[in-house]
Amino acid sequence: MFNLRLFFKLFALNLKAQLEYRVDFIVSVFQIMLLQLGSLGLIWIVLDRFHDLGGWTFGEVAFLVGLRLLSHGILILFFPDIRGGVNEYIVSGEFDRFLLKPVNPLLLLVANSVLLNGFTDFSSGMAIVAIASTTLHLHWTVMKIFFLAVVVLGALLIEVSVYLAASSVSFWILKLEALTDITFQFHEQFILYPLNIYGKPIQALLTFVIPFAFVNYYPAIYFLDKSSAVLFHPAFAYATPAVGILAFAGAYLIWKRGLRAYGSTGS
Amino acid sequence: MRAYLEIAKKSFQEMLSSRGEALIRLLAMLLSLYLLRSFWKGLYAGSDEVQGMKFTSMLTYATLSVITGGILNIFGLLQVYIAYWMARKMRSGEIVMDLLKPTDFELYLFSHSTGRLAFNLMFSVPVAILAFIVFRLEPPPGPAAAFLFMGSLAIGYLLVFLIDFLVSLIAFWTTQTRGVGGFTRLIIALLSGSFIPLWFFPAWARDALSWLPFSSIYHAPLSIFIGKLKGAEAMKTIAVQVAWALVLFALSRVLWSRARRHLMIHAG
Repeated sequence: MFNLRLFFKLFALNLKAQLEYRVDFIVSVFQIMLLQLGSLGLIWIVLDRFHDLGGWTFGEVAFLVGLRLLSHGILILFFPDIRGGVNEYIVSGEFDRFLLKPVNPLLLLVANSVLLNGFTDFSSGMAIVAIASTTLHLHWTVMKIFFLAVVVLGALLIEVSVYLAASSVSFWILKLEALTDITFQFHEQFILYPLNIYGKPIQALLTFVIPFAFVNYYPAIYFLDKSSAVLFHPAFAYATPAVGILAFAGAYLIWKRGLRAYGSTGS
Repeated sequence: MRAYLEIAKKSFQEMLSSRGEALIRLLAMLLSLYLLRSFWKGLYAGSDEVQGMKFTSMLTYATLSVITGGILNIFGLLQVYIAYWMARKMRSGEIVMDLLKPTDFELYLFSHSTGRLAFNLMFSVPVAILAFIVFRLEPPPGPAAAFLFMGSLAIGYLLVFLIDFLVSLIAFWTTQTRGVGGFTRLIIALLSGSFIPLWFFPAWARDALSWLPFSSIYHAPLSIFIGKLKGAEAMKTIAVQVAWALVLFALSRVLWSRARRHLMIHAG
């Protein structure tokens, strides 16, 4: 419990530090909204001309984009450092700082980084899911809303796990921007569009190796009742929470082993 | 002139030393090519032509867009980077060292950025050639189109540089360009036709956007390459590009002399 109280205290401090730069924050709110809604606008323009993308209409693609933004927003809000930051700490030797305190280093790392932009991402995600729901006349039951919350948490676990595992590799090999960069590209671009437009190898990669497809594609099959989009196995539509837990367990093991193997760069 | 060539050469050599980074960018470029190809294949769903745009022309456009992005990716971040660089130098005061040099500051930056461009060309052109062979893309309809494409692309680069430089001058007043720089990057990404060609936009939006400088960066050269813009229309587009380059260049001179004076007052 001590850990948890400390966690919230550190977190609140970091949040306060960010709110110091109020103008920066307001500018970034507008920027993120423009980015998200502008990109959605481009997809609308092109789907207005073409009707569908691999069998997915504008509302359905918007749902994929919005669902991804929900977990992405929480990731950016609470875990911004996990995407590349850990890497930098290890290479610069700054990581030693986290090991010197009598707290779980991963918890300390998370508490130390907050990025308010995540809040804007999350809100844009809500807006886009709402746009998709109106376009598609989706009927939201209590059960579906509950499952949506569980899916978002599962998706968050998947994202955290993938980046944690990718960062842990730098315990052994110091320079690995390539790995995080490529992971980034799959996370930021590939899953914006339905998985079925890609070839089998990429579909398998995003399902079994870096399971980003469970962040939005597979759960969307359930929410949109889209059995035509099933890939590999129909049960995958419900698997996001389980995949999240499994992925996290695996990533945490890699992280632990990495910690043990860690020898400081000493700088 | 010699000095500027040397600056360009030096920045080219700087890039050569970071070949590892170039390799990652190459990999990212190949992934982008694959992504866009899947995207347009999913949209065309087997038809040869939609809204007057042939499938092969569209693939050619998308491939060239990735390549052009790789060439213009001067500082690692997409476009608009001088702005960030300048803001950093303003805050640290390092800018004084650049101003002490007996070179024209704008030309100095331009040479520096062109050296990096040369490096990008060196590894992007082979990717382009490979992509054209593997994907069986269309060459430009004739030598005139090829020539106009290169001219239009060059003016596009000039415009990216000028826009970036103008934004960077804001740092002389605010020492911070994060917000404006980000907005500029975003506007270029959304309105230049880099992802969705302006041909698919509603006619009124296309007309409006083709008068803005952003469409010069992707839409103009790529449309000339695939033969959608030709003859008098192509000439008109290039005239608009040249006009923007002149206007922005004049503006940059005026603003630069003001920024310089402002800095001197600042320094007391």
